[in-house]
Amino acid sequence: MTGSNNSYSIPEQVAAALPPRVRDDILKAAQNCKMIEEVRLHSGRRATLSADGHNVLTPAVLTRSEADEVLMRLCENSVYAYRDTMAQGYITLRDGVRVGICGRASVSGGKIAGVYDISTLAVRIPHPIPDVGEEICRLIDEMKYTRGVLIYSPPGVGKTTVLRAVARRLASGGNARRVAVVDTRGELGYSLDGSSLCIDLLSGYPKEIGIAIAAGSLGAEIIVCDEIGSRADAEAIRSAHNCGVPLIATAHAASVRELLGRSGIGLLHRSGSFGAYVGLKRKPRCPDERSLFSDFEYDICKWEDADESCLIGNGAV
Amino acid sequence: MSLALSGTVLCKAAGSAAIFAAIGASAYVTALRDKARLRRLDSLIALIVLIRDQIDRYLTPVSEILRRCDPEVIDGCFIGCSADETEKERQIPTDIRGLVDAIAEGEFFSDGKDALVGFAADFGRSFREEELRSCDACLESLRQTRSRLMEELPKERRSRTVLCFCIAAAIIIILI
Repeated sequence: MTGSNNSYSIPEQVAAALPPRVRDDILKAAQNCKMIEEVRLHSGRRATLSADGHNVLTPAVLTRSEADEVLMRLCENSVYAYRDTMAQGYITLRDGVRVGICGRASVSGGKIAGVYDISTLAVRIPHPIPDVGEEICRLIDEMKYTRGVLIYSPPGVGKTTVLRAVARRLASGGNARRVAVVDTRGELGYSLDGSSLCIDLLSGYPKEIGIAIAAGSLGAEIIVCDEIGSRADAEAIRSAHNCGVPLIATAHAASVRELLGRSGIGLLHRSGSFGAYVGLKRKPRCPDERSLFSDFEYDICKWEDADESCLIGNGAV
Repeated sequence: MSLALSGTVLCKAAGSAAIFAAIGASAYVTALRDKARLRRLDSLIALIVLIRDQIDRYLTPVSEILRRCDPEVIDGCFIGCSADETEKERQIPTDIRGLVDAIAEGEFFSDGKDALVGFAADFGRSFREEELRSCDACLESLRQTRSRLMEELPKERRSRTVLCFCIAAAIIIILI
């Protein structure tokens, strides 16, 4: 990571891809931020940094041709290698850095064939795993590893960070479990390659296929998976649950009610795949606090309570 | 008198031998250069085949392909570049344009130049099918250059050898 006053600033591969003028402006602005979570580069507009839940405006402006060039460099001059994920709006670089791509789409046969005239590149920076997630591990232990946990929060709170920490906790130590991590977007596996971890990393697999492999041929005791929601995901999770393999996953939602209102997750709730839902919030940090990481608050809702609140919400009671 | 005469004959014989040796050496060097030109083209063809194969099967980024590539193939592409560069550990370019720029410094760049420059100009900017078409076009062109060289080089070599021996014979006759 490149930076001056802290160790977790802009990833080197991203800094190297930027024109020197833009890089200098961003690095200068980054000096005032404690831990950068995202860099948003825009063509014709000023770039912003997201740090500690705030957006900081920088003086760096990319031209359209510079934005195209930056994307080319991030793709290692090999756009063909990133075609599939680019059509889904992102590319994943080494070390779990995810770059969201926004531009002009060329559609062929109802599918995105390419993205041109890049207008925004949103670089999501992963961070080393903080020592969090103990409550979630305790919860799974209380449920005797028979049911899973779904972590929810609005975007940008730190679900993926907590999920990584939970995976590492479960896969390490004297009581290590066989954990399979289904890393569809290539960002969950960052820092999970320690030699003492009992982790099988399924990188780049579509979720439903990865979950089926983890539950079937890999004989995982716990499956970890990021951002679920579709019915296909739900079917795969239900089938893993029927095989006796619990799943720890994340989903975007502000409340349990909103979460269970989604068809895929509602289906999983009815099947009892998740024994608890954990709402994630960041604890407010003192300005003079020295730690780079925020701590989290966990709003735990057991399946029975969630079921009740769901029924009340639907007016069934 | 006879001593002076035998001395002159000896000098002429030595001069003739030196001329023949020089011509022989130059013919040998020319043959080596011709071989090197063909070897360089073979290495370029092998490299493009590898790139095509890796894109077709695994969609591997080009930097990764060049990193994994057999060092002999890469070195073969640089035949004709300065000796200092080949002796020290070569910094392998991470993209095709960088590679072609580095190869362009070599003396045999004219063989397959158009195919390589055209291939490098747009490489990596499009999707799999387009890149495979571009690789095929480059390969086709390089193979044509190679077969043309295979036909032309023996003829060139023969005519150069005949010319050299004629010149040598002429010099010897003048000397005698």
